Amino acid sequence: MLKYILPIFVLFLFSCSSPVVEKVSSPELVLEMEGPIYEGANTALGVWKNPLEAWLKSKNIDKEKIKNIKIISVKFQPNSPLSEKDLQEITLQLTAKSADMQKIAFLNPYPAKSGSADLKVAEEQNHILELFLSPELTVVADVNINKDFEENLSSKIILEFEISYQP
Amino acid sequence: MKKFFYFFTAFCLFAFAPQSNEADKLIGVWEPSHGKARVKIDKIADKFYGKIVWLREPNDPASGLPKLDKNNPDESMKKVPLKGYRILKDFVYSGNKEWTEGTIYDPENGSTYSCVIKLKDDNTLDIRGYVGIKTFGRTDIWKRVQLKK
Repeated sequence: MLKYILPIFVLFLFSCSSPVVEKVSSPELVLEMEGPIYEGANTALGVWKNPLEAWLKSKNIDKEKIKNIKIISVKFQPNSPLSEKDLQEITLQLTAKSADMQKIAFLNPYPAKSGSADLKVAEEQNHILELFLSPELTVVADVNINKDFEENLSSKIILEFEISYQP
Repeated sequence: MKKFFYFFTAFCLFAFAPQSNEADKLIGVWEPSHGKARVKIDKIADKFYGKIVWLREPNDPASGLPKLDKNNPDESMKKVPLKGYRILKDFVYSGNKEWTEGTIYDPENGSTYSCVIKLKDDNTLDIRGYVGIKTFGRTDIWKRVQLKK
């Protein structure tokens, strides 16, 4: 009897094993604003196609194995001619055609002395996995700018996130 | 075969272009009936979003500093500025001058409601926020800031 129970018990334990959590960074994502840009509330947009494709391939697992995704840090870097002095504050959201927009981070005020800055990440995060499984993830940065620009502007962000998955 | 291809392409252009033009009529700057704010609606990833671009009283009378989303239920988000805040989210054009599936956020109480937007005419919107079913809700009339003639 024991020889039947033992393998079943081992199988049960294996299937209940807690998910593995791994830290992953996005590539440098470019956010763009089309000029002319006027002082006040503006929006920079960037697209990340198939965000998890490379990671899933490297792990050789199906997307169904992913249990959760949590954003843990967001680094923002304005590109010249936009500088930290021109930025008052920034709010960052993610959206996709098949998922609702989620606010993930902000910084208020934007520090006047640092080029790049770490945004404050939201404690409550919902549907992030749904967004990351979309074929096209859109990054929406709402920025308050304190002067006018004639030209297009760009910035870079890097998202760092934790993926919980069943190995 | 070539003839069919041209016909099919022309059909698609005529069939879908007006739908897109109708949907984009929501884009612009709008003022709610209370007149305390102006909201710019734009299109991102084929959905419509509205953010506050102007406040009649941009500063908090108590602190003298720019108003923040102090009623946000998420403690970590209470310092997000109201100027630039996206209060309308994820609206999809469902035809018949109506945008559905979206939400509206009320910064005065930190609540988010389901919402339907109806274009009454080129310069007037009916914005209905509700919880659960549409019957139990409230409608506000928003006016376009730069009138279309």
